[in-house]
Parts: sequence; C-alpha cells; structure tokens
Amino acid sequence: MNMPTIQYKCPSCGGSLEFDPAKQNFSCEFCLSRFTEDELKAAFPQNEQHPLDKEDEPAASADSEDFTGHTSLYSCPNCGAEIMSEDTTAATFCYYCHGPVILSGRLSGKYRPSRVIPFKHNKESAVESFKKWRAKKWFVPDDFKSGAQLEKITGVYLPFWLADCDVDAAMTAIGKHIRTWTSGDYRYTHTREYEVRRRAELSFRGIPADASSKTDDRLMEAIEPFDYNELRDFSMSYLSGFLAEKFDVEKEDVFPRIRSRADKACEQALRESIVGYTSVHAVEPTTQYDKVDWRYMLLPVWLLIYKHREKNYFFAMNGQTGKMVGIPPLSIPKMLIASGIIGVAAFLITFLGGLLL
Amino acid sequence: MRKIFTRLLLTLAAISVLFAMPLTVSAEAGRVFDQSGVLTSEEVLALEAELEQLAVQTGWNLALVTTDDAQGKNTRDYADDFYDELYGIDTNGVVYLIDFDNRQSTISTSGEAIDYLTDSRIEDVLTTIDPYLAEQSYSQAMSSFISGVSRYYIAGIPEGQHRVSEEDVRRNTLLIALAVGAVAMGISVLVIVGRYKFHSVPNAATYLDQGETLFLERSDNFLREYTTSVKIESNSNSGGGSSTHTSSGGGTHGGGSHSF
Repeated sequence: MNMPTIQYKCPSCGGSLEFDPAKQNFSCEFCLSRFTEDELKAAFPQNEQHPLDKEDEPAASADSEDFTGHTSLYSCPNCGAEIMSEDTTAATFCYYCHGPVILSGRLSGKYRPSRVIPFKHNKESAVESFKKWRAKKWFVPDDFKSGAQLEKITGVYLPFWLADCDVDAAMTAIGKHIRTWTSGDYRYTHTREYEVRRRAELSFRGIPADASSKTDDRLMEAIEPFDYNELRDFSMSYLSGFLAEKFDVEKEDVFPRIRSRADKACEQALRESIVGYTSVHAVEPTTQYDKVDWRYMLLPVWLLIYKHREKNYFFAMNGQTGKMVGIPPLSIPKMLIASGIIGVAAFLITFLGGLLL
Repeated sequence: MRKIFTRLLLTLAAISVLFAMPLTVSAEAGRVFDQSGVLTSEEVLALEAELEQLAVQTGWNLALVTTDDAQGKNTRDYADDFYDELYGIDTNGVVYLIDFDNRQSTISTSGEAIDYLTDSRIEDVLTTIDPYLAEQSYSQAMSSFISGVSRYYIAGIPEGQHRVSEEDVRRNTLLIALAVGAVAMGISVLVIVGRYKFHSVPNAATYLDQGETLFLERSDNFLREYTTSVKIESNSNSGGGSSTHTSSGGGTHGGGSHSF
C-alpha cells in the first residue's frame, strides 16, 4: 500500500516549488516564478488537512516483510519511482529525480504539528556561517580547515515538544549576617542567623525538548532559543525543499529533561530573592508541577556531520537565528605548541623580572 | 762611687729611651686609606683614633677608603677586593669606601660582621651618612660610619638572623619562574581543551515568564545570634637578614651601597 505524498508543483510550468528562506516565499526551480504562502494555499487547498484527521499511517504489518523494521515504501509524485524512507521521515527528496516530496501521511492526526518556524537562513547562509565559525577556531587540524564537506549541510525541520509549566516551588535556607572586628589582641565575630523561606508560583512558556531519537538532545538545547514570535500555523508547503522528521519520543519521555531544566531555573529564581546576607546556605527546592500544556512543532535546523579520523563531529545551526553550535576536532600538536609558547613567555617574564628586583 | 753613678746614669738613660718611644700609630694599624686626598691630616689622625677604639671594641679588621679610580670595577667589587687583599678572605671586619669614580659609597662586611650588620642596619647607617656626603663633609661621614658600626655591634646579632646569598636568590628565582611557566602552560592547555568540549547548557530561565512569578511566601525569621573570639597571634619581627655575595677572591661579603 502506498503512502500518500504531496509535491507542490508550479502552476506556471509544473516544476517543483521550494520554500526560499531568504525571500520567505516559494520559488520554482525551472521558471523562477515566485508565490507567496497565501497564493499557494489558494492554489492547493486540498493539501491542507484538518488537524482532527485520523492518522493515515499504514499498519505496521503491511511493511513487515521489509528487511529493516524502520522503512516503508512511497512513490514519488514526480517520477513515480518507488523509494525507501525511514519511519520518521516526513519530508525528503526523491532519490532519482531529486524532486522534493512531502509524506503527508506522516504529518496527520497526532503527528500534525500545530505550528512551525520556517527557515530564515538558506543553504548559502548556513555554509557561510559555518566557514566563519570554523575560521575562528585556531586549534583545528589543517585538513579540517579546508574540507569540502560543507556542501553536505542539510536543512531539516526537527520535531520538538514545547512545554508550558506552572510550578509551585518552595525553598528554605539559613541566612547569616556576619560582622567582624578587632579589639586588643582578639578578633571578634558576631553572627545573626535567620531562617529563610521562599515559595513561589513560577510560569514557564515554551521549554523545548528534542522529540527525535536521532538527534543529540544536548546539541539541540545548545542552539536554543528560537524566537516563538515567528511561529506560523503549520502548512506542509514550508517543508518543500527541506527534510523533515516526525517525533518518535513521546512527551512523557521528554518531560524528565524539561523538568530538570525548570527545577534549576526555579532554584535560581528563589535563590535570587534572598538578599542582604553575608552568607546563605540553601537547600534544593521542592517543586510541584501543577499544570503542563504541550505543543508539538517543527523547528528549522541546519545539520552537518563531519567525519575526521574515524570520529564523527556534529554541528548544528539554528535555522531561524543562525546560532551555531558544534565541537570541532582539536589538533593536539597545535594546542601543545601554543601552550608551550605561553609557558615559555611566562617563565621568561618571571625570571627576568625576579632578577631585576 | 763612680760605678754607682754610671749605673744610675745608664738606668736613667734606658728609662728615658723607653719614655722617648714615639706615640705615633704603628704602621700595621693604619686603617685610613685616603687615596683621593679629601681628608686633612688632623682628620686622618682623629679617624685613626676612633678606628682604634672600634677595633678594640669589636676585634674586627677595619678600613676607611677613598678612591678616584675604581680600576674598572664597580664600587662593590672594589671594596670587596680591597678588604680581601688587605685582611684576607672571610676574616671578621668591615670596610667603608667612598668611590668618586662611580660616585657611590659602600659598606662591605666580612666574617661575623655580616651577621651584625644586616641589610636594614646597613641601610640605616648609609642613610645617616648621606647628608654628610651631600655637603662633602667626608670626615664626618666616616665618623658617622664608625659610630653606626659601634652602635650595632653593641646591639648584638639580631634574633632570627639569617643570610641570603645572591646565588640562592638566583636559583630560587629560576625555580619560581619554571613553576610559573609550567602553571601557565597547564592553564593554557586546560582552557583550550575546554573550549573544544561540549558544555552543559543554561537552565530554562529564558523561558520563565518573570511577570507571572507570584511569591506565596517570603519570610526571614530571626533565629539566634552569637559572638566568638579568637586570639590574634602576634608575629615577631625577625632580624631582616643579610644578603651575601661572593667576591672575586672567593670571600663571602655582605653590605650595601648608596649613590651620592
């Protein structure tokens, strides 16, 4: 059974339409026409599905004959080729004709995101940012500096759970006000101890958590924050020209991570409200999550995997804000040489300075 | 009768010869070497007398020297060598030199005088001498030196006295510099490696709606107060120490210099 797929075809020439982050509209790769989102919605009303549609995902048994458990078949609406895709892929490119394909069946029912932030940085911008970021790293090996793997950078809409939490947080602490003075041969210390109690209701809006098991949670946290003011109502058209993944981690499973981040923020907020003491000894607060509202959305990320000497290095750039995160390989010889020079310089300064005294 | 008379005469002559011994300073006790000729002969005599008294008091070798030509040496080396050649290596004594060539005056100590005349005491003596040099009262300068030495001899070797040799200082500086260099390199390595690692991200404070924060309880309740006291250990001032160096002859010398 084939999966429902969508491709946005240019009304003028029939070529495929892709979302252009720089112009924030849709362009046809062949006739170079441009269309706004409204024009697209008017031209393809049937592509917008109601959020209450039941899921069109085919039963697992239909594909259980495949050799891996995570692939299913679809056919390209452009060229008709039957191609494999992973279970979580929601938008991709046809392997043969390279046309963008949106697997609408994977974006319906509970898998339909409520909102999306469209890409603001296109591929050129991502590559440029990466080059600039790479140039600032002095201690990378030379072959990393010149790598041509940059072209493999991929724009992906990644799934995120957003949590709005109301938290009741309570903390107790001992605050001390200390005064010292000297009289005669003795030093006196006078201490006043206070029992400090703080309890507050704190509201968090939009704490994101990576909803895909394929991406590194820490990497995704590192490219935060996204500007939620630019959230748009979801439309599959934005995905055209990019990859997209649907979630495979349930919100219950991401909650512990969200909770731990919110707990820390509560502790910081309560701690900051304790002022006027010479020293404060605070215990971790107890937190109670009264209400958690969830939203599911797709957010834009440029991803690059760089292989260097058998190790994989991951880089991510926030497709909206441009914030770049990644760990480059470290050239140990360069680092040792630089550190050695600093050490020798410190030695000379201290030695000569000491002799002069 | 004649025999007795001759004997008496001879005895008288012998006695008068004894009394006729001149009261001049003996050659080996000459301690003033005014090579620049800035002292009058009366001043030299007076200084020699003071030096004699000081020598009796301390048992030290002493010398007062002036020179117009330091023979290419710096003041300190000239004084050290002068002492070593005159009185030998590492004997007890002190020499005061006014070097018009380098325009410096210096005190050079040897033997136990190093420990009596610490760096701070020498500095004190030189500072007291400075005004006399400024007004070119060289005799008074030297006299001041003598009384300074005497004063500190009477005070005795200070408690906690120690010597710090120049060679020690150089070696210690080298060791400290090596340690600083190693630490600097270590810090550099750690900082660089740290920047090439993943860091934990900040908490969710960005997502906290500050305007919505509502405090339900904010209490600071006084519990108790108390006072403790600690006796301050008084630290006794140690003698300050004497810096030493080795002269070209191999003798250990202390001392200090002032320019004028």
